[in-house]
Amino acid sequence: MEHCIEVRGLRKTWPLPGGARRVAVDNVTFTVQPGEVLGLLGPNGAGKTTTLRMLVGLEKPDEGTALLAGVDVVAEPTRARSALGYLSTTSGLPARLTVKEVLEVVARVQGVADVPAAVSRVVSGFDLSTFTGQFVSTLSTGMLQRTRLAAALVHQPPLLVLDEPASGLDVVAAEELLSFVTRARDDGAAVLLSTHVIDEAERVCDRVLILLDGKVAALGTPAELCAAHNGDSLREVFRGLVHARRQERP
Amino acid sequence: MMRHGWRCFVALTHMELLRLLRTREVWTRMLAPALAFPIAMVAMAIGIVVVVEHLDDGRVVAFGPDTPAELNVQAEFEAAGWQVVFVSDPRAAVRRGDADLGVGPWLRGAGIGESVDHRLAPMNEDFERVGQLPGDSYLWTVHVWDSADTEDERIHPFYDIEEAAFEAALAMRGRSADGMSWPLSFQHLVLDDPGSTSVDAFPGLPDIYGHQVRTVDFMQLFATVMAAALGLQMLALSPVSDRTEGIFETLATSAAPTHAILAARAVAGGGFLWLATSLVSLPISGFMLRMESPESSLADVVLWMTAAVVFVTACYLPIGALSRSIQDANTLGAYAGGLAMVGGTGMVFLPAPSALVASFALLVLIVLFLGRSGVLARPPKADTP
Repeated sequence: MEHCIEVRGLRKTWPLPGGARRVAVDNVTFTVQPGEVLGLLGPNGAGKTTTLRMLVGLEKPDEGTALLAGVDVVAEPTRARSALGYLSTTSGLPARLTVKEVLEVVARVQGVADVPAAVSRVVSGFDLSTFTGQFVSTLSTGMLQRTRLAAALVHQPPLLVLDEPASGLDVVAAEELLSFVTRARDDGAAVLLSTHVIDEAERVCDRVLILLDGKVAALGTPAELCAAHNGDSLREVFRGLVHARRQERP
Repeated sequence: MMRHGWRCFVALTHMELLRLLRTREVWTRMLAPALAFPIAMVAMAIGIVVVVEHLDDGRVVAFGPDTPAELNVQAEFEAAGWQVVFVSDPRAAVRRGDADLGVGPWLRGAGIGESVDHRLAPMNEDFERVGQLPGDSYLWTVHVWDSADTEDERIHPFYDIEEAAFEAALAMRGRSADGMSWPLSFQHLVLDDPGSTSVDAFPGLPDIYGHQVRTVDFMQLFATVMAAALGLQMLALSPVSDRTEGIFETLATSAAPTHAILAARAVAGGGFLWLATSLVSLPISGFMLRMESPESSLADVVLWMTAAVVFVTACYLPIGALSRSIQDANTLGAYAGGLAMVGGTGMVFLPAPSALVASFALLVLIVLFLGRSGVLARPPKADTP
């Protein structure tokens, strides 16, 4: 079974007062192949987070399917998520555990056979060796984010879903984090990266999906998108699409 | 898959225990108060005894001329600090204000003393079924004339009389009292309300119309109330903040089955709850059992208490798992606490092992149900200002 992320026709609506429903995500379809980073771009409220939450099983879609390594995340959530590393702005780690304890627990829960070896690998890979005995509550924002990413990768998942991973980080920490993402991609992982930072997407993403009002507005490599929408840069394409969508609204 | 579930359960239980051990509030809000509570209870009990003894000093009890000499009842009241007077009409003495308590007239009945052979056999075989015909069981019936603000402490001296007289009566027949009390009936009459008459049944004649409340039952109720109160603290210390801090989300997107995550929380949280409830309950239970109910063993109390803690955990676990805000948890937790107290109280009607099995089964069902409902994925919400 090829380890890829596959989303087919996802749809999600939220109830509104009076019985109406607001469409948050509408017929979203995409695939992320092994060794690829797909960037998910969109303005606030475009449906990025809802899409990711459905993809990892935190929300049930009204329609459509989300497959992780070929396994339906709604039908078999535990098996589907065994191939997944997930990091979002809202996921957290227990404050009163040390970095090492967190990594050990996550490794065990994710079914890693050789826990000490896996922990040792991410500790050295993410340069955490001087912090392993420190409580999570005492880590700086950058170190915490690095620890969270290490926890997401401790079981060497073939699929990685990252929701705003560089949010709140300074420039240096954000650079480091992106280098970890590209390293994971180079190791063969399929990475779905949701971000607001277009430069970030342009630098690390092989393809970009732009989501507007819950719908796929554009999907392709940055070069393809620039060519298709007559833009000099991804930022220009993004601005143009958002502006056009606002014009279309009643 | 099953093996992976167990592995997750063990790893997460270890994690939850570590977290709880390192949570200062668990020590300061649960375990320390739990340690202080028995000390406060003992101090309060001593205080009550001192105050009651002080209040009883100088009180007057009036006996009629027909007081049975063999009961030596006046000596017991004198020992309890009462001033004893003999009058022709105790009721009139109370009415005039010359006495706080009037005792008499006394009526001699057939009683157990007269028919000890055929009454004692069923009592020994089935202690809870005696007293179906109270008139046959009492040797003496005494009228106690009292004012409207009747206090039960006033008839306490009678209990000592019962014990001594009953044992003496049995000893004369070569029998043992086996810890039972002298069957003496009080017609407790209130002067201001002559129509009211109540028979004060006492430990020797258990109430056969309802569940006999034993010391071990009382301790079960006490442990349930304590566990429910402490469980509310436990609820405030982790599960809700785990949703707001994103730990539920991290766990829910891992390969751990949801029921393993919830079971680990139940075991770790329930374990601490058991420890705190033990600290509160066991010193008091041990003291009361030793003093009042030798037929109940400490093992019974431990079983009851464990059943209560498991039941309370089963009531609180869904609240912790479902609540999306602190307000939700507080509101629903209060209702769950009420449910835990009522349910825990109801469990006194089950034998201790059955109560434990039933509570455990309920907890397992709740864990499995919540595990299938994807409860951890619920996003947090802000409290309403």
